[in-house]
Amino acid sequence: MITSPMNITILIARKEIKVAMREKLVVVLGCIILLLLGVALYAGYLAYQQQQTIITQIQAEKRQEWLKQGDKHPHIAAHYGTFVFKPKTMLSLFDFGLDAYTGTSKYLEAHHPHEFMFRPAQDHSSMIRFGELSAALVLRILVPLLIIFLAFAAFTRERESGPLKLLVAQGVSFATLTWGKILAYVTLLVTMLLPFLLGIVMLSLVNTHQDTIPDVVTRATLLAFVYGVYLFLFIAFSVWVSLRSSTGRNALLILLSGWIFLGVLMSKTVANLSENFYALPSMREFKAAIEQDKVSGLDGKTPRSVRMATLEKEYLEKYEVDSVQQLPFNFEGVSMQAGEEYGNAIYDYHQEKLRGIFHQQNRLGSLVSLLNPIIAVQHLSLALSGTDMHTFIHFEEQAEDYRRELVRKMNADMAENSQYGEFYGYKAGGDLWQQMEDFSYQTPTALQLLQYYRLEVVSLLLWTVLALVLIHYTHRKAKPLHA
Amino acid sequence: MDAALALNDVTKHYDNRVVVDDLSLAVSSGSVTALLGPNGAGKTTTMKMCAGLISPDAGSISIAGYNLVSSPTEARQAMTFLPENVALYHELTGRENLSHLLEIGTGVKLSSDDLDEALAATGLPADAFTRRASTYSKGMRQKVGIAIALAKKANLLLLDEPTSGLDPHSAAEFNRSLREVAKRGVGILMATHDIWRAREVADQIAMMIRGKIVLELDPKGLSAEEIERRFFLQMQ
Repeated sequence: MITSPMNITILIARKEIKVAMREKLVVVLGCIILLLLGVALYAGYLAYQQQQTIITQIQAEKRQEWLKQGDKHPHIAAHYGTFVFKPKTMLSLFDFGLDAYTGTSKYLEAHHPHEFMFRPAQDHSSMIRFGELSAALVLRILVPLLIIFLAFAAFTRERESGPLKLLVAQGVSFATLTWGKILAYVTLLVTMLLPFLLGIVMLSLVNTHQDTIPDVVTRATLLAFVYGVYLFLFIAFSVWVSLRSSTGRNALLILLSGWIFLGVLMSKTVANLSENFYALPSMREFKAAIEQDKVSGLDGKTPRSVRMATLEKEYLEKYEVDSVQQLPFNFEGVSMQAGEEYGNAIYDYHQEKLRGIFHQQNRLGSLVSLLNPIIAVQHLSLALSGTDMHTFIHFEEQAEDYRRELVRKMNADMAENSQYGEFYGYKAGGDLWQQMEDFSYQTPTALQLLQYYRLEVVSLLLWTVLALVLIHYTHRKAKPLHA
Repeated sequence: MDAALALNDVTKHYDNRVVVDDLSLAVSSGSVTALLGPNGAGKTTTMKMCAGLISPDAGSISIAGYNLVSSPTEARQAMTFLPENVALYHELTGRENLSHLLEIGTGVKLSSDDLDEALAATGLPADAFTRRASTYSKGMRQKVGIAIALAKKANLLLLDEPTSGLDPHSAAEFNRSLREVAKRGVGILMATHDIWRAREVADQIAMMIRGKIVLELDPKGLSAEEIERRFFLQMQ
């Protein structure tokens, strides 16, 4: 009977699994990683539940406060304001992402787009920059370490003390051996990680609103695919290094050096370099620039008094009246809204500049991801978990739109229903507050987000092709012995 | 009946140096041939070519009638090669090693009883069958290798310096195992330096110098000293 290459591949895989399960170091490391993964997921789930409960509760309270604020002048209500909260995405339990840095809630009031609040990173030491223990971090950094310890000796052990010559003399090709070993490590990892993947999917589906289930399923599937490709890359490169190395010690040294360089040094260096190349203004500078423009105008020579006088003149001419008191509406409402819109334009101008810097920083990260698949996976993981910068900006824009609509409604009511100069004389009530619908936020879909991460997708594809080419090329040259 | 092994005009160069020079040799089924020669004679290169680990530059090699180039799968099926240091998977037991290597080479999956029978036939102690190979001596590892040949019913067993590093008792025991294997119809070619052990076990001795067979003799009735004398005469 002649064994087919596929059967031999499976036989080799079975043997590799048996051998791996008898190696104490691999078993202990595997158990530690499983434990960390379990702890990270549990902690992530607790944090999600806790924050989501608080957000839901406070959002309901703030809505009631808005609705029951009593009778008051609409502009005072616009300053009384309200809060909006960025809902936690279910998959944030997997990858915490930027939430700790960006914050999750925002106070909305007239004139001032406030910064986000409740940023846990503010309360942590700088150690948080090395990453919180999330399931994504375990998969991205620690599981590759397990792969290295599993696979560094895949071929060197065969050469040093294993029956490589016996196998080759029996007609087993290096290609079959390599794919057998890769199949073994893939099987081991899938067996180890599948329960966690299913757990995440189940938790996500149970806690997700029915309308968003398709998007969550898409995100979870893409996450599984991205991490699947990523871990396959580590397996393929580890086996390749072992195939090319003369001793296990050399292979381990090369792989660990690569892991430290790509996983720790390069990631942190790129973050620091992007901050240096594209420096962000401090919050104080950012706010001061906005205030300065409000005082002198965006062109630097149109102060508020000039803008208001021009507006007044425009309205007097348009309605052919001599004074604002003769206008058929309260000009104070119009001027407030005009001031608001001018303030918005200033804010948009500075915010756009700020986001431009963010985008440049991210662009650098995306470019470097072509050289480092760990960065590519990190970006894709954040995006698919809904905890990346683009999701945050999307929320920020929606919150700002809501704030502007709230202020516009208050100013419009003031213009329509109050008299000029009787600021405290007019009071609106529950009917007006009710007209402002509660804020509800829908995260962008996975596919909408992925358009920002094309380079990262290309990176994973290129690295996969490279791994396959290297393995194929090395097969043809491999020898059972390093002379 | 085809010879277990037939080398016809085989030549191999390394760079511009001829290592095996127009070599022809036949090993018949059920016989043991010892390939004797000094260091650098080309013994190991010859063994590697017979095992299919390297290809000859000229000539042909057939195993049980199958040409190693045109029918490599069948030729390899008919042969078992044991390098000087038979290496097994340390984490697997002797029985698991045999089962794995046999299944890979032949696709045959034997029962535990059949595996144990093959291991026992080589003289491996029964208590070693289920012990990890990391606890095995060189002699024990070689016996597992020979068990592969027995279990797969190989026509040819190739051995590269099988008794080097074995104590006299183990070497004698190993030779007894080889005779048992030969009795089952397996042709054996062993490369060795050890004239004494070769005389003990071989039906035919081929002396190789500078890539050529310079002398073939039947050691029966010859003392080791006589073989050694003829050997040195050829070297001069």
